[in-house]
Amino acid sequence: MTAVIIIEGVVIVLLAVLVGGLLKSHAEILRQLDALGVSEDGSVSVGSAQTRPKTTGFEKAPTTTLAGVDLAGGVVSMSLDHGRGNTLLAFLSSGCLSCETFWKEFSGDFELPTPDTRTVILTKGPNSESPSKLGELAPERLPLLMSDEVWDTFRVPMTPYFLLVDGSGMVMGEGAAASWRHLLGLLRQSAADAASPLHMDTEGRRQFTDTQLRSAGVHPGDPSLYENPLEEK
Amino acid sequence: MSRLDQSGIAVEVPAGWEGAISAGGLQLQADGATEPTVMHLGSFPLPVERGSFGSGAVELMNNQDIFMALFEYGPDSVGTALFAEEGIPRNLQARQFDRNMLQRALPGQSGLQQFFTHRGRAFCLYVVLGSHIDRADLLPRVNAVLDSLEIQ
Repeated sequence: MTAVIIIEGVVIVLLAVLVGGLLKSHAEILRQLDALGVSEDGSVSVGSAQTRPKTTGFEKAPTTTLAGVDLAGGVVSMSLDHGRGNTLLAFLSSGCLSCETFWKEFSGDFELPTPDTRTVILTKGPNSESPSKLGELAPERLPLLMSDEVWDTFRVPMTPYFLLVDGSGMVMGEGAAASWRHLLGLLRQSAADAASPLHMDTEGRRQFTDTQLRSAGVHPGDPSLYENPLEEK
Repeated sequence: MSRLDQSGIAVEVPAGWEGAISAGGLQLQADGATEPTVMHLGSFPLPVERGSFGSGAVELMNNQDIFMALFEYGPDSVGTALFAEEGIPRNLQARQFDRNMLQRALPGQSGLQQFFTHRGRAFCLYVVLGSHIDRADLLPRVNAVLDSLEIQ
């Protein structure tokens, strides 16, 4: 009888450890998904911690030179700090199901909410990707660069993944998007954040303040500018 | 700055510039034609769709931009009068540029075409400057690129 109780006890302890381990690993998976902005139902929400630009302010992209090969085997070097417009980096792969919608949209006549934005598709290098499959998917009018090095440099966590970089090589926003609508939302949010005075330099903040004051009817020399708000009238 | 190296052609791409070297290698195509090796460099974002001598790209240049193309001709061209010049052109001079040298004449721009042979390979170097008037100021950037150009 005692032996049975002991065996039962051991089994209960083992089951408790097993259940505890499963709960812990499940919690870890949920935590990792949450960090990537994916909810439990599999949707990726714009504005989540993951799609929110990672940086607290503008930060320089890890590299401003994208070097790789094209589908014809030529070598290509592209710049992110060319001083003209923005660049949308679309990290896609030929095998990911979520990428299918982006391959399709990028092949059509698409319009991005951020003006003057060039889209560059980045895949892993020829050793990690299928050039023939990419040849079927690749939009004719967009540059496609294959490079393991670029992926490593940008530490791409998943596909599809996007970065919006301005003409000086500063990252305006980045994140994953599960649908075309999510991507457009991410771009709108990144553009809005970029326009925030929090992300401006001193000159930008000065101009922003001037504009706000002028729109409120306060012009240079206005007496209210020289009043001490703490002084009793 | 990055380095492009393909089909025996190597060049340093200055910071902020873009470039590409095709994998042509004068390989024989199914239609019997040979695929030339073409190098393009630009101080501005290069469009995907562009001609061998920059059509589609030069239209996007501002007056401080530079476009450079190196086009390889087939072995039949080696030894002909047009390619008699030996060696990679370097240290280009402002007087060598002319508005009439442009493949696609655009207002304000200036161009240069130089045919040469190097190590038994025949090439045309084509350079477009965004401003003919400012060509002397733009040339040092062109010559810096040419200094780094190597052909095997």
